[in-house]
Amino acid sequence: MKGRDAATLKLIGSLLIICSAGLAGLRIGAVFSLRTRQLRELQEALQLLDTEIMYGATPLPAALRKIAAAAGGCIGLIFRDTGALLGAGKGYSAGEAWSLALERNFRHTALRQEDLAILKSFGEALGSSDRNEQHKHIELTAFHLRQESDKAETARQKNERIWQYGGFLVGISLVLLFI
Amino acid sequence: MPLETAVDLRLVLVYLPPSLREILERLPPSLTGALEEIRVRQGRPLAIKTDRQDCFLDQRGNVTDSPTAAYRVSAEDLWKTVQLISQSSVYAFEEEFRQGFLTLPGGHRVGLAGKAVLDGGVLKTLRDIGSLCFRIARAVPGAARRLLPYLINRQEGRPYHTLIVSPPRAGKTTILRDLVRQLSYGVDELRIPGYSLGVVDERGEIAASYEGVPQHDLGPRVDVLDHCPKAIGMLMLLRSMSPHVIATDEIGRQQDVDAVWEMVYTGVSVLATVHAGRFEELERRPYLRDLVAERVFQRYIFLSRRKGPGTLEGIWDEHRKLLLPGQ
Repeated sequence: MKGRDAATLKLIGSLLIICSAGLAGLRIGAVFSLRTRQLRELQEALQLLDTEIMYGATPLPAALRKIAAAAGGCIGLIFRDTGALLGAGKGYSAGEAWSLALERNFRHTALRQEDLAILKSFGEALGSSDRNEQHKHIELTAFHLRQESDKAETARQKNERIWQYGGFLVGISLVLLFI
Repeated sequence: MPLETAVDLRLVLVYLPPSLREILERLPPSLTGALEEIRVRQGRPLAIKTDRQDCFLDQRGNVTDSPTAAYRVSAEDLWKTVQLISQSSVYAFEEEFRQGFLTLPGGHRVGLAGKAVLDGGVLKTLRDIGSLCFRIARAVPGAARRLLPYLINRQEGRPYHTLIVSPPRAGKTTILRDLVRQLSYGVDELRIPGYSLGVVDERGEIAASYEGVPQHDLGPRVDVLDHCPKAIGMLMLLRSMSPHVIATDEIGRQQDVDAVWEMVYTGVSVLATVHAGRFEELERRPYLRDLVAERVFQRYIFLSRRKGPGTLEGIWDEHRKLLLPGQ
């Protein structure tokens, strides 16, 4: 009986190790695809903002609300919070509101520091010039994001699979080591 | 009839950055009640204007006459104020920047001065804004009530063509706005029915529309053409909205006067304002001269600041007969 109990325990333990290592791998793998997705969502949101500014001349609070509704998710939250802070009547400029909204929401995204730097510099000139200059500014930010997006895609193709399978393989190796 | 009513200053103060807002929040009610202007000029003292005095404010919100003791507006204060009045969307207010002012909710106005950017000799926009002037709007419901009986042509059942004449800041627009409001509601006690009115608000002062909604109560029978040139707007409203009365602000250019000529023989009553102090000054203005000589306007309301903004100097008819003496 004792031997059978011990064997069952070992089996459960091994399965736990393999599963947790595998899940950890899957999670890390998912971050790569999540980042590419969020970078794409950001570019789409900026495209929308560009349309609102160039063709609708919509003031930022209203434009940001529309974009937040369209974008959804963590990226939508950044736009939503910026709009809410601007409309709160507390004297925030668009740049300040954007920077605060980034601070609040950045840790919930899969974005990296290099993406944050691009977004911060985007906030500095947000709303403070005429339509043509805003257009140029959005185009430039979208260009930088696209570059990061391309890099992220390459990294995803390289690493996503490795982490997805790697987690399980590491789990199995650990189990073999212990046995 | 001094034009003074309490204004919720908080509606204006939210458009100032915290540094300036804190100073203005400390003003005593006696000053806030009479506040007409707040002037924010970069590198210069923060100034206010009431109906009685021009003065500066120091860091603690005390009134001072000394520019050196006053709070100096920093570049950041000014930049932030521009951001706040434009909802951080300068691009959405390009037309307003070109015109040199924009309207805030509540009908308050902010005048802008800065560097003009020209495109082919035409003003394209203002940038590097250096001065702002907040003008506090005071709608005064009832201000025009005692004038009304003199302005209605009982035989024809419509208001007379009326011109409100005054120097700047003497309450012309306030009186016009209240006339529009009262005519639109109608006044039962005076047996005045409600008229449908078209307002051509070229400068955005009468209705002070904000995002398409008039910020002043103009009554139930008013159609507003916001920021539309008077000459085009009056004809447009005549054709599109078939009003009984067309009201507009500050006529003076040839095309405005031409449009008035077109209006007066269409059965529509014209309510307008003009800058002048006396009849003689009206007669010296190039295009208005003919309107006066031809007796186009049937009622002239003269206002001044003699006893505060909105002091009535009198109502005259087209034969210069005094109908209602001043205060």
